[in-house]
Amino acid sequence: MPLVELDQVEKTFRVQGGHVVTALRRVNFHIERGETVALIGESGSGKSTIGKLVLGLLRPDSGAVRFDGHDLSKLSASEVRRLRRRMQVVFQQPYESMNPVLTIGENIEEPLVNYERQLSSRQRSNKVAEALDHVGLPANYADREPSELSGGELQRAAIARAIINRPEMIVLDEPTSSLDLSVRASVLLLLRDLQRELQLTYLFISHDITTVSFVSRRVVVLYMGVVVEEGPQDQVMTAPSHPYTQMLLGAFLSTSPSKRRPPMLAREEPAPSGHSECVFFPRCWRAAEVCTGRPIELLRIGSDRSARCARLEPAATETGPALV
Amino acid sequence: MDEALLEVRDLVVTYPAAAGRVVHAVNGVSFTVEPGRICGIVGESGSGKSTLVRALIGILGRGGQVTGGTSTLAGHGDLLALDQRELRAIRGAEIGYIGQNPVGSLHPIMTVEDHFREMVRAHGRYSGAGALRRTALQALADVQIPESERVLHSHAHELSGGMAQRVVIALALLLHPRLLIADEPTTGLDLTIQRQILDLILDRARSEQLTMLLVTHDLGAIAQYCEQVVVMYAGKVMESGAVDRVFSKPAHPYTEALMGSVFEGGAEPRPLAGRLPSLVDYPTGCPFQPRCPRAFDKCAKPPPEVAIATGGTAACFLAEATHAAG
Repeated sequence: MPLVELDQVEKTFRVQGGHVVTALRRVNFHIERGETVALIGESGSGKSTIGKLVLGLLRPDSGAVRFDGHDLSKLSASEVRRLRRRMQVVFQQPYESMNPVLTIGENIEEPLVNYERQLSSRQRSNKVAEALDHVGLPANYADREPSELSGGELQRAAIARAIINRPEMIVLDEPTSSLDLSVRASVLLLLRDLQRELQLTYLFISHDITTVSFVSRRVVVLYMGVVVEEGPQDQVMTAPSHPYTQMLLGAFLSTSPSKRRPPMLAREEPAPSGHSECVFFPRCWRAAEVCTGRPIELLRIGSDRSARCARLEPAATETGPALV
Repeated sequence: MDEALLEVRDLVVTYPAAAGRVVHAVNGVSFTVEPGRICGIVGESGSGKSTLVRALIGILGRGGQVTGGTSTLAGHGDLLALDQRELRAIRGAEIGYIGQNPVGSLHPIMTVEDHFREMVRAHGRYSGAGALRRTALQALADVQIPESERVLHSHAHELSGGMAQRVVIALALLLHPRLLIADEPTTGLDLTIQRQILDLILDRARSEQLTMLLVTHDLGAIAQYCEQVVVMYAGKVMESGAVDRVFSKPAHPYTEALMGSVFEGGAEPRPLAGRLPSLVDYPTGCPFQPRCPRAFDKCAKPPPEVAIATGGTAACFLAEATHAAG
């Protein structure tokens, strides 16, 4: 049984003026214990909404979000709370995620105060020291204030807070996006080491394809609330199937001056008229007549890969292409 | 060698800090850019790269002050010696500027058409309403804005970030400046839009033979769009030179460390420990020394600017021994 499972998850939000915005449509994917699944998408893709659903901070309109087999929306508040102690989160902005009037130590021990009330303050400080050591910060940082730390150090402190009560899963919501390049590498290496050491499961939310390829085993590509492609990281990154994934990866700029950037994928023929169910249709460089007036299903294109595109030429598999 | 279009010499910029002290944001920066060249200025936060270009056009803000150095734009002498009125005449007409926050850099109650009118009038180039409209519509079409009529009547908040940045680019290029400065022009935009915006700016810069400064933290953007690069750290130039040379054979340990932090191609990154030194209690020696894996006793003294045999400079004692020209 996967540790986390999203099953036909739909989520809408009511915004100003009473309009309803669809954040997620029929989202399916799962995360096995001990693996990292990366959610890639641009702003508005719904990737942070998925993070909040997995943490039980939001409820889906329909469909189910299961943690260790428990449907989060069918549980009482106290039952959700009991499950939530098994998960943690690290956000993009380390400074904003820390309480500025508390010391680093007080910030880090917060999950213990919430969930491990039997611990004495001495036991808590011991665990804080241990967590600081785990993330490579000196023990005396416990007495410092958040404003005294650099961005990279703060993110290490946020990671210490996330691991202090030994959760099974951590949602990493753009954990390195606000960090400088030289610091980013060390934080990602730390996350990778902690995963091995503490057998953690990660949901890694990012728009940065280079960090995704470094940390994750599987990737889920989101576009406007729809999973457009899913598969093993190395396969999706080297041979993307969906025109959106192809465009996203094609936008990447290599740091090697000798590798010339490919031209951006652009439509050569005029866009077909008519309505398409495909969310990427208006921007798609491969849009064609076949995309209009029919349902666009998630197509299985390999043993462990799928993509949602009407123009897809399914890979020949033993069983042949199948709708999933 | 052509005469430099822009020559910056020993530029020093400070900001006020608490208790009457100062932040040493830019500390003696020198570089030159020849006409028609695309020069990248790369650095991490606190490197002073944005302060540097903002100082050149007199828009420092936050009490920032140029306390030393010169910045010579060919035909105009030292920009830093000009008063605000003289600088205003040069900004827009001679130097185009594209900033980080496109929606914020447009005036909230002015339409896009109003911005075009302002730009033309501020530089004494009067034109009738009809001519202005045609010019503006053409400028919007040139930055690949579809529905340019609708955009012309829009306010900043009605435009997406990418669309607003296209408007800013059209305005920056309107009066055919000779120097274009783009300061992190794609920050906050989605990856696919970032790429389109950079392609657009650089295609225009090349086709109009502009000289350009591209300020960025993105090594990929430097590698793919620039010919020369200035690598900054703690307000100083660590290394400069042709992009191919600097990226393939970095002469400064900081450049090397930056390249080693990249994740591309499955290589294991080599992270850099430590943090930026205090810009208030600025170190006397090399500012990178505390983090430098190859620091030695000499590095407590200010490093020399070494001319590299294969072109460019590096501010490092080690480069003196291993890469120096002559």
